[in-house]
Amino acid sequence: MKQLILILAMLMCGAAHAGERWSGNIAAQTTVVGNSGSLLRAAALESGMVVSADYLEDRGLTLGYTNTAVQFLQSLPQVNQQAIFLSLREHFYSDLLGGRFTLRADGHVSANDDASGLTDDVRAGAIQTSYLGNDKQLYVDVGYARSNYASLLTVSQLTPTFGLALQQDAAWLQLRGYLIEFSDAALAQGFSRTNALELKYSYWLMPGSSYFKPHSVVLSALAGKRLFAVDMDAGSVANLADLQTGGLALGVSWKLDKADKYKLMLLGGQNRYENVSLGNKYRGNFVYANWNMNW
Amino acid sequence: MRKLQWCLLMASLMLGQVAHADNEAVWSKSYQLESARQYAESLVVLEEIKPVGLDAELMMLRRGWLNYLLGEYSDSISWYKQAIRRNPKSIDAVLGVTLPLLAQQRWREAALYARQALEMAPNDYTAYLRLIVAEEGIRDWPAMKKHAEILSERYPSDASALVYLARAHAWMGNASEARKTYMNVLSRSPGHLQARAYLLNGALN
Repeated sequence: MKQLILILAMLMCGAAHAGERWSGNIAAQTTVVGNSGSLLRAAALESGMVVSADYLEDRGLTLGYTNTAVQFLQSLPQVNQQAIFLSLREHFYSDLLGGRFTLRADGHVSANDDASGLTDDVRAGAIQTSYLGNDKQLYVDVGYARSNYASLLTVSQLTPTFGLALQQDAAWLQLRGYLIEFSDAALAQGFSRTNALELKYSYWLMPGSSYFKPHSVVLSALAGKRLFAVDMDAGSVANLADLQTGGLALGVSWKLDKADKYKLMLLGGQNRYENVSLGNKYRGNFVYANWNMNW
Repeated sequence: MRKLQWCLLMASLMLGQVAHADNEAVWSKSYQLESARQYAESLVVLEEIKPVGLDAELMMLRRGWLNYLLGEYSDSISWYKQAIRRNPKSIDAVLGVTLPLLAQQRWREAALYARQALEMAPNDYTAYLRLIVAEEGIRDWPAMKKHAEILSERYPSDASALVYLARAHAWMGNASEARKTYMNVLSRSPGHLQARAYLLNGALN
């Protein structure tokens, strides 16, 4: 898989130099989670790589790989998972509505060694239609995802999203709803559906002479309940997580060079979870780091 | 037989002259309507020009331009691209297509055509300016700075080149260079709002 990503990246770099029609991004990311108050879960480590390439402003693709290790308490064996993610997008321009429509199709495949078999062999597909105004003041999308688990559970998810520019374009507010339905409540911690609302506020700072001055800050929060969600921004499926009942995170990103080619983002926060069958509510404290390079 | 050939030749020449005279009336009407800001009507008149023959290229360029003025950017791009296919050496067409592309914020494609125009006409002011606008959209600050520097060297009395140079410096975090450049903008365009705002509070608007 890593070789495939490397070959793809080399091909895209070559194309970029040849025609300046291709642009792209490579990101390496890792998340460290430490749980407190959990009767079962100790920690988790997630690391991966995402390669993205776009042909002019017409179409693009993203390929991601993530390796996850979840450590348990009570001498329970660690669960290891590999997940790949492929996303294709095509842009269309509307003069009538003064903006760009994007059609996107994603596929996820996850495999792990979970002894229970409940979270293994996940196949998820997602589609999304989005609109972004030419003046970048308004963004709307509707996404639909369907995930199939080895346990025969099917998860259907609708994600309407609304975003708008604030503070003279220095800030962006995004609201995303997660309306998730499960085919069998017995396989989804007793739930036939969960609803959650995610809020994300981003603020960009004017570059200064100091390297320590952040490029942007982001504050995100989640309210409601969310289980087995497909996150279309992160390109991930939360098949290993318990029921999420809330979350709060603060992130800061820095430009690592004056050309805006390299960036580093650090995000820290706390998610609240519940293992419904055990009646155990706990917190997942996490730190996320993302290094990325544009070409 | 020779008489027949001669008659056919004369007939075709006369028909050609009639067609040319007709097109002159069409062009005249189209220009008049454009100057009266009746862009849609100006476009309708052009439907009389056939997409083959001597006037076809001009018709494509005019349709590209008028569609751009109407805000029909996709149609504008399509007409300009037809004109480029017909005459790949047309700087008019290559520069023309950058306008609707920039309007749709298709920065990379606009930059591609602006660079193509510069290959054909090095130092062309409009091509440089549109390339710089596209580079700001792509957020390619080093390229934006480089090209704004070249433009301000070639056209030292021009304020716009310096505005983009100052913006590139500001985005790259070169605050003192940005301030110096904005001061130079004020010499060329006293009271320039963006320059005054930056010098006052250090922010781009």
